[in-house]
Amino acid sequence: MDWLPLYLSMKLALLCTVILLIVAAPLAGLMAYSRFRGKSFLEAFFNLPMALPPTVMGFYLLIFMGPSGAVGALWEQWTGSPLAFSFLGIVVASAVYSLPFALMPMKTAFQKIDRRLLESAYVLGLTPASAFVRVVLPNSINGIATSAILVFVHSMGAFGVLLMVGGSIPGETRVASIAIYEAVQSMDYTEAGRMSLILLAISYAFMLVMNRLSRS
Amino acid sequence: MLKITEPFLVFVRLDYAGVSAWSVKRTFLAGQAMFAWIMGLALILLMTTSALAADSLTVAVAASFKRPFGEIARRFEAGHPIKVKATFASTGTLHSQIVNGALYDIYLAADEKRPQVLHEKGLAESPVIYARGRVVLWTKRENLCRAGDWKSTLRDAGVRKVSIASPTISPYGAAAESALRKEDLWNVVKPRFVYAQDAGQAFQYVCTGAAAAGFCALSDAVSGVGREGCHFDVEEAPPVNQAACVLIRSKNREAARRFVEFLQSPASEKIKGEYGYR
Amino acid sequence: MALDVTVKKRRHDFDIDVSFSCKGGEVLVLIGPSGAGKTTIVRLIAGLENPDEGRIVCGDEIWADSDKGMSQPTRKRRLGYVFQDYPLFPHLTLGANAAFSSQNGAEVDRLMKRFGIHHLRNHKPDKVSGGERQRCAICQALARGPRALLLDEPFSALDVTTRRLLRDDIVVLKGKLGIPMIYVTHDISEALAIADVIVPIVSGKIDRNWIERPRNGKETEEQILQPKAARKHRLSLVY
Repeated sequence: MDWLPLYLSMKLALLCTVILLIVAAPLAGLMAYSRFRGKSFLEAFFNLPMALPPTVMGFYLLIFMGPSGAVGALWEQWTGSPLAFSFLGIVVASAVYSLPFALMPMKTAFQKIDRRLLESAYVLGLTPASAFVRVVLPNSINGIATSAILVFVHSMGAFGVLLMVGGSIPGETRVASIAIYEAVQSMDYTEAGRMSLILLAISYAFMLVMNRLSRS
Repeated sequence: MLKITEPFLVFVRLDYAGVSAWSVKRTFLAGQAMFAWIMGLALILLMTTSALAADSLTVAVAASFKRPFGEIARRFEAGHPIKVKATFASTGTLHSQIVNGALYDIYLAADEKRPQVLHEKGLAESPVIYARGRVVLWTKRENLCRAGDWKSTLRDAGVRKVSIASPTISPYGAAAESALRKEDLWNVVKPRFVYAQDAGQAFQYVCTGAAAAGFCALSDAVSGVGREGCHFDVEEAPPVNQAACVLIRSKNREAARRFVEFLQSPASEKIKGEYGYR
Repeated sequence: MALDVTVKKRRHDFDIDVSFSCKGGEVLVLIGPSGAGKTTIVRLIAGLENPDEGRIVCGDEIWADSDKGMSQPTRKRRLGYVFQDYPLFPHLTLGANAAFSSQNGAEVDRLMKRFGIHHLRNHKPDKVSGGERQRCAICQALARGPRALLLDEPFSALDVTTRRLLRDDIVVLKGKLGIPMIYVTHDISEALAIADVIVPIVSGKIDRNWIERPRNGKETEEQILQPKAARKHRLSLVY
């Protein structure tokens, strides 16, 4: 059996999870705690990837990340290599695609925290940023764990977006979901079935681990 | 006793508070009449659809053949009392559906292999070739268009990525691969490949600028969008024979056979030619 | 070092308009019916809310001045605030809670021993009693060496005995700390026991007829708790 796509999927999912937790936490904090003009528009904008069909998302991402796109051209200037059809490219695509799933559970968890805890932190001399790190985050472990699970599982199964943006390059962007699809297309149903089962097992194991961690 | 529109006022009546015995009875009758209306409509709809079923065909068509199929189907309907409905998807997807019991009458694949497999499994009648496609190298870049042929285009240093439909799943990709191997270029170009799911996606990769050039179907290269670029014929590649077959489970095998025959008629040949098929 | 407070704030039911001053080493009690605005006033002093108009000065530091358009953020006003329902950080032990804003571990230990909770320093807040939590909140507030101490009905959720004990602690504390202390309560006996100045707040305003400076420390506790004592101080309960 070909293990490379599964390894790629895992790498992609883990990287995405770590990146999104770091990026989405302050964003979710902003959404939860600040009030400013146009906040609801910004929130809806960040949740857009959930509303778009993955293939549509992938199509637009391809245009942006391609050599003639805004992001892709800049990237090529800086690094000399293209962004689309690279592993980093699909990490970016996956991250954008899973962003709402990272934001929402964290935002809900942050909002649930007693405001007086934060006020207590301010009285004790913390800036809003350090209050966020020292008080809000440690008390939102459940929300953070939920975000991690959703992002990981979502990235493992990401198909439509990666189909558009990945180019199915073996060892670089040919992740398990695409390999399974191609196996079905070429009538190799045993291979497809085997890979699907293992994909399922990995996602399940991750969810189990996360649940245990958040409980302790 | 009841006016014809009274049944529809049942919903308004239900808002009433103080209700007299006589109006309750009327409401009840109106409710019954409403029920009768709904049943009647449903029955009429059912009869019409079953009436249609007798004279309609459902065709599973490879997505790449969508545009010529539309025209051919309309021509067919104009000359026969049969309605033609189609589902467009990738050849492989349709194949899986049929193997798992989807109720199509005809299967139009983009290759020969899958209809043959169905025939061997006893799910389809003997396949016939309904169109011959060709694989070409297509690009949008003007400087590349000036190159002599597809091989020199590939050798251009500005071509960082080349799109190709995955050879294991697409006959166009397989045809391109055999041409590249014949010219000893397969291993040379391979590091630059971007693999698409089918020839259409390979074309799209070049359209969006993600790949500089790609091995696409001739039918895409001569389309409206395709004409904005240029293409090079890949003569070394075998033609892509697209086969069709009537499915055994079809309820209209006779009508289906007539359609498959029409696919090979001179009228259809003309349409196919305009779309880049032979 | 005195804490001078003059604030005005519009609320949906009434407007707050108060002005008072608390000397260092004194306890000023804000007393009044629920919803009178006492908690809001304390929050304004702390900087958790901003007054529409007003001036808050502590010693030589201007904490807020609406004429100059300046308002120090809460964290820059070195004060201690003991909330009503003791929100200690649930993810930290009592020891970590008390030491939250202090680098001086020895001072924190001393405080915890003084309040009798040093032996609980490795317990989490949900495992100890309400009184112990509140004592930890006081330690937490004091560990920073605040310039003023705000207490908003800190013992109202505790039983009578614990309340009395903690009240006595406050009385001892005021002499030792020498900082102004603002204490909010609706319990008249508590007010009489600890106050140097009583400021009755009704519907956001001070009822000037009621400002009293009770005799200091001469009454025994029984006398204070007698209804007669209340009449002697000419304070009536308006609830």
